[in-house]
Amino acid sequence: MNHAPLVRVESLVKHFRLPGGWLSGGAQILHAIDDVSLEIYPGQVLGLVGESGCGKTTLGRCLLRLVDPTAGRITFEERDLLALKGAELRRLREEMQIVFQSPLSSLSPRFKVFDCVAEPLQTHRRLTRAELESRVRELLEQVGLGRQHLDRYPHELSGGQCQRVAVARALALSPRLLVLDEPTSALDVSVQAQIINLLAELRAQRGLTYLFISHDLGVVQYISDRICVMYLGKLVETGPSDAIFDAPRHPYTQALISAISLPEPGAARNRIVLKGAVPSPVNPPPGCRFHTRCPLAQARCRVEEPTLRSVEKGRMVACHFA
Amino acid sequence: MQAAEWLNRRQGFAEPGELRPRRQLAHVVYVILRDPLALFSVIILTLFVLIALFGPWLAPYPEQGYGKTNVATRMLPMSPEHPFGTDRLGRDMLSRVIIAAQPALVVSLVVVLIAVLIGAPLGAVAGYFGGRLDDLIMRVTDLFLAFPSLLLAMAIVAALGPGLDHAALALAISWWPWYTRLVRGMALGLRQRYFVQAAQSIGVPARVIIARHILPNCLSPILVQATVDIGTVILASSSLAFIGLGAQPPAPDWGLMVSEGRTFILDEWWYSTFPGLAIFISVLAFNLLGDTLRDIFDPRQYR
Repeated sequence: MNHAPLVRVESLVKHFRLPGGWLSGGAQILHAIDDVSLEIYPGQVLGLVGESGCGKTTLGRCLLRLVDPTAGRITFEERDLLALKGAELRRLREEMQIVFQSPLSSLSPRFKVFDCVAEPLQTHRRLTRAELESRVRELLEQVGLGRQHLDRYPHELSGGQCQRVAVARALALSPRLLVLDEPTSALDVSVQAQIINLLAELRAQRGLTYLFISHDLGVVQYISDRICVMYLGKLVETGPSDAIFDAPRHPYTQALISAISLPEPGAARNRIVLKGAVPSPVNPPPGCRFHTRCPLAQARCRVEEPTLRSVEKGRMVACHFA
Repeated sequence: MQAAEWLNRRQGFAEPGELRPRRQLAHVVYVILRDPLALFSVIILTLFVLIALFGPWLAPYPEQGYGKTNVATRMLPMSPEHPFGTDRLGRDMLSRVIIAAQPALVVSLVVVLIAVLIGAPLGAVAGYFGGRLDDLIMRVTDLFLAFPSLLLAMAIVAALGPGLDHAALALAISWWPWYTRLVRGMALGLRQRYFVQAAQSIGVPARVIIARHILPNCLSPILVQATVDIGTVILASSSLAFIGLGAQPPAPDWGLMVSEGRTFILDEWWYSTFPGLAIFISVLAFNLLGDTLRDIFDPRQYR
């Protein structure tokens, strides 16, 4: 971890304006991401964990400039990502790609597998037809698909195969960073394992860097080097994967980890069950955002917002009592 | 039989996905044969197209169909020589109705084609980009939609002067906003889809995304709407001719024939009736074909 980070996110804020007319009392602001800073180091897998709606997907989309953040800075190898325009931005897009969670929806229903994988190459490279075909075949081979799949339409493939095509498309331009937005959550458990293994293999072969977004802690634990836990648009805990799973410090992380289903039935565990639902990101609670559901909450938590502070080497927690 | 099974059998498949392999031709034939109304529309429209193509060879008196008069045979009732009777200038009505099929079909196809070519790309641009551009395009379409299509077309023809070409132009001008609306709605949904976002993150230029991802995925509803509209445009251009703003005599036109015959409707009823029936049947057939196409493209939405 002596290298400079590949991606540095600094104080990122993303607010969405919800449409609201004069009848509903004016426009409302949804706080998707509030002041999040993190670093992704080259060759590492950063797991981004949290419940649905906590802003983790929005963060991934900000990284790829699919949405423009409200405030903050994102740098890719010290280049300011948010300032790039036109041709420069297009060049940088070769360096980072995304794989989405819904395998079927991430492929155009009217594109054959060949066209899906060829699209990035056609956009960025001038290749002859023969070069294009051999490159696409090569990519499909790397994700475990054969030439018999070239002329298939997405609806003729299984979910796992669709996701392999999406991975092949993402790898076509040899990017250095892949944002994996819940790439396995829509798949069967056995297929999930195949895709995870494929991703781990590709990373080892190509020295890729992943931002792995998921709510499935088991998967994240398996693949990640470092983990960031998000709650309601805020980072609550970051650190090396093993350290966090061995001894989670934030009460939210503790609850998440206690909820992982254990491989051995009947094994002893103390499950922390959180009460209530996630508060609305339109009106986040004051003070610590987790205080409404926290088993340790005190009066202080309701007024004073905890900052993310370093607790040991490489670990940060945002809790007054951690 | 289980209710679900019965329903599946009635709809012709168990799962949308299960049907895909035999999707193409076999599925189309299956949907048409399953539904008597679909079969009816396909037969009628096949006949319509054949008559439009080969009218001059099918009509018993083609030169009369195009307008040659024959004073000796004025206002004859139906007979073996003149199955639809004759008009006030002695022309064989059957020939007139047959010859009029071609201009009716060509005009409506051209009108709908122009409307789609203008409307669909504008709608895709509006829906994909959103924001100011969307507002601008949609306010302009609202301007056109504020008037009933036929009324707007009448106003335009009145300004340009009557005639079939002006009527076609006027109809095209008043029809494109419907496609803009249709495609914009689709594009709004499509731009959120992951495959469009994937293309964005690849860096595919916006115009390529619209051409390769947005428009092709709007094709089915456009085709359904266009089919229904071909019928509606036949009706509209006949209406314009009826009030004297469309085709001008002696051109063969169903609307014009109905108009000419209306003063004789009590005694020489065949004069208006047969061209009227031709309008009715062709419009009905295009509507039914539209429904059939919807079934073919989206089997889940069985009526």
